[in-house]
Amino acid sequence: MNELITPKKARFMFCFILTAFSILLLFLFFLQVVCGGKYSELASYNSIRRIPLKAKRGLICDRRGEIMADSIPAVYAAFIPEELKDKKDTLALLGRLLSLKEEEIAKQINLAKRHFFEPVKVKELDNRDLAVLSEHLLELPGVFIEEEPKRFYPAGDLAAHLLGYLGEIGEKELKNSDYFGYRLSDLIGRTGIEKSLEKYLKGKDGGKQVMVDARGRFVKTLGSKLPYPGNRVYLTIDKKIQEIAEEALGEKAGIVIVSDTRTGEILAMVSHPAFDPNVFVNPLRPKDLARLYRQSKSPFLNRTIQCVYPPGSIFKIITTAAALEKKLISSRKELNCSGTYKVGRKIFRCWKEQGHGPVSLLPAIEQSCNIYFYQLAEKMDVDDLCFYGRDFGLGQPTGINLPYEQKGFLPSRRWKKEKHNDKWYKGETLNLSIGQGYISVTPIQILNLISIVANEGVVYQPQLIKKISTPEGKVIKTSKAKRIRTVSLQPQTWRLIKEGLRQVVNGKKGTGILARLDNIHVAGKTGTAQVIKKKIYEDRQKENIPYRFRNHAWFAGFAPFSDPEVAIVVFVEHGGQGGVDAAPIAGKILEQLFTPLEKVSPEGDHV
Amino acid sequence: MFKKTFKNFNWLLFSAALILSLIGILLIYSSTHGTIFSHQANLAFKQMLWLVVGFTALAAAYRSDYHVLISLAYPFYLITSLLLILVLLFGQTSWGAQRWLQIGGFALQPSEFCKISLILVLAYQLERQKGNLFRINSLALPTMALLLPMLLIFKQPDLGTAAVLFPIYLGMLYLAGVRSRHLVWIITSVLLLLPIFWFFLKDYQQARLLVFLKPNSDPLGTGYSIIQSKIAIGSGGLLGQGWLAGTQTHLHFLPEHHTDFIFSVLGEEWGFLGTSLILGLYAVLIVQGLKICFNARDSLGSLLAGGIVVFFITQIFINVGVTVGIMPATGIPLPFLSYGGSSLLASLFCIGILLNIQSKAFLF
Repeated sequence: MNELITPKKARFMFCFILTAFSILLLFLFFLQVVCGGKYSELASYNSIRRIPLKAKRGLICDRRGEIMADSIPAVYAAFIPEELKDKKDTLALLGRLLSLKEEEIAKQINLAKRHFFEPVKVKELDNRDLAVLSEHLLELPGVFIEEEPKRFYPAGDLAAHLLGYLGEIGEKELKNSDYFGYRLSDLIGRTGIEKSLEKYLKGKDGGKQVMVDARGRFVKTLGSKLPYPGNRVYLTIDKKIQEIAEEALGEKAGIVIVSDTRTGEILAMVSHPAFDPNVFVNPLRPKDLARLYRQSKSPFLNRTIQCVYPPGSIFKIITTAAALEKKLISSRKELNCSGTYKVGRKIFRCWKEQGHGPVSLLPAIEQSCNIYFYQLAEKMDVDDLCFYGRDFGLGQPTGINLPYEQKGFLPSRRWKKEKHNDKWYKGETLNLSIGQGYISVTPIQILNLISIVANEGVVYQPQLIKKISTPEGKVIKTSKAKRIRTVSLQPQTWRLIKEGLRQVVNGKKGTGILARLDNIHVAGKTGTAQVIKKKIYEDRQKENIPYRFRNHAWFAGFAPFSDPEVAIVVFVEHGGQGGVDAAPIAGKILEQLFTPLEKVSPEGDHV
Repeated sequence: MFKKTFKNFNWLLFSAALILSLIGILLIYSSTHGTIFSHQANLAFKQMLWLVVGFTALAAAYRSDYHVLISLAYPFYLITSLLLILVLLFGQTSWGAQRWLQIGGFALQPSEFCKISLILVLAYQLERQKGNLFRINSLALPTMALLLPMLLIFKQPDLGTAAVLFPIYLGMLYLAGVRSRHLVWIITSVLLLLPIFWFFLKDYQQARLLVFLKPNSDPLGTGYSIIQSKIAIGSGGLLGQGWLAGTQTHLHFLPEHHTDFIFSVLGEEWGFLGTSLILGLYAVLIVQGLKICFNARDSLGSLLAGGIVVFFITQIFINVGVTVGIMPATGIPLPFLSYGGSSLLASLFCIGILLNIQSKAFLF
């Protein structure tokens, strides 16, 4: 024995260990010998069953409370494979009753991802199936009818991209502690609001543990936890405006976004072609899915945030701002447009072959004269031009509450040097000044840009969520208009840009006159974005150009001119010309928005 | 030659460890045979390989000198801490926790070795400060030695292992002669800090602790494990259902039955007879460990042996406590029985150290 060990310590440690062992032995004796009988009864073949109780997914409504994504009860036929007494006969009878092939049901067993003694779903039942099955349930030991809430989108493909769709949770995600509480075969939001607000919409699943007898009949409940439904989300979207916008765009591929310039709230967000998100809810219908995936023109892309395009002449707003702020030109000074313009050995063209003649700033914006802006761009540094582009929010995500937003692109001298190991050429600045070349934007950025013009520099955060409340109606989150920053230009610059945009729609020679309304002053800018170099197809009619080489058509505007309330962006993919193919759509939507009789006002919050 | 090698060899301790490990393999075989999960198919065989590695480590520890081992305490401690950091950076994730480093075909769990390195460092440090432990601030260094690995393991997050480190620390301080008053202070301050600590827990850990208080509140999740474990053990009765015959286990009502819930398999298949036999074997092992601790040649040996004994008793008590429902589910292995190479290796290495301490003692 050494100096550390005293008899007192040794005694204490020995007693401590003796106590620990005694406690364990006592509990084991109690569990195994005293209560052994009770537990072995519980353990006798599959006497305890776990029944998951899935939570109702939170509803998604528009700003007035109209339901856009619902949760409805659905009834399924299900069975526990481990419990089937005579598997072949049972499945054959079940198949006959539900008009399914026996092999198809057997296949479900293998496909189902589940734990032991958890049920396999066979088919969602309609009323006829339900009646037939209930009648024969006694002949089908191990088969039962299960009720579970199911996602339902009452308006089908209306606002499909915005709402998003659901998909089965992956095994990798299940292992992530962020998804604690999720189980195999649970559905989670994969895109859109369903994804970005997953944690609000999910709710809490419950379950119960019940004791059953040897024939699978319920004896008693051992423990249960009721499910708690997900929260209710109110969007800023107005379903009526959304419908108007979808109808106006029609069958064309493209987008429409309408927002309230005074708050940044999005009132409608259309991306076409769309899809029916209901298809994803029922995994037992793989055929519909396959058909969707085969469709051309990528129906799953939300073109408003996930696709980038050249802005075309809409970018002339930025070029104007840069030229006026850098004092490169007086608004009254006229520059001549002869239809062509030569820089070095290269010839640049106006869209109007015979030229506009001498034009000053306002007519140049009104008629979208390329040559006028080329001459401004010649005096300009590309980095200055792009500084204003960035100031107006281009080349960066807007931060809207949707997944997978693209950021677009604006060039710089440094980028050209690093990426292409080449200097920046003057001609490239000319191209950029009319929104072509090394530039790409998302439609939501254009909406942002036109709203900034309407608000003379005040930048609001584009918003989709009006508020979130619990199933009982207690509001847990509301969003207010958020001014995030200001674009500070001189008042004179704002006045000129806005006046230019007013003339685009209301001037005699304006490119946007098809968006004109009788009772309301609309202002805006058209854009025609070239997909390939002009000369290859320049002689042909639009119909003779292959679809994928046709130009994109843009229109971005706001109304009413003097006291803006709404901003709108219309984009038609390979649609042709902004003035001809996009502006009338915007006009049609704005007309219905401002119809005096039945004014569909964005102010109305009857929530 | 033979006589010299095995002079003063504690056969009782050695045999208890060997029998426990062999029973462990039988239980792992029983709980994984006929499994439909391919990754569980060869676990009993894999454990046998680990057993060979483990006994090699035991022999090495026995033939060396624990004084040499102690002199390597800090380097060893640094290496295991580094491994813990590596786990956090590159470790394999499983159910939200990063615990394993994949090396070749085997997964290493550094937190197991970190328990040994903590015992070594504490023994070294307390031996150096011996006779100078009357003031509370002399406990700074040993406390820091505890906190570093504890925080790293807590971050994984592996609450159970982090919690096992604390009793080791407490036990060794007591043995080293720290005043009882100071020990009481330490325990009270930890208890007072617990509510703050609660907020750092992940959702699922909070859930596990809450479920312990009310098992029926989560019948599908953790509460389910505890209920099923109790049913498995209870249904074993006095004599058990027989090896390979446990229905709870084989119908997969019990999750993790080859690792953290191996004791439930034992209880179901071998009954009260089996569980008391295993507890008896553990008692032999612990009592022999205590004797070695009391009779060690120097205080260093006593501290080391004492740390190891506390380490064993803590793991046994928590693990068995979880399966009978008197401890919150934390997920720590049962020494010698649970599947897991790192744990078996660490445990057998500790037995080697104990045997070595006895061989250097004067008495016996």
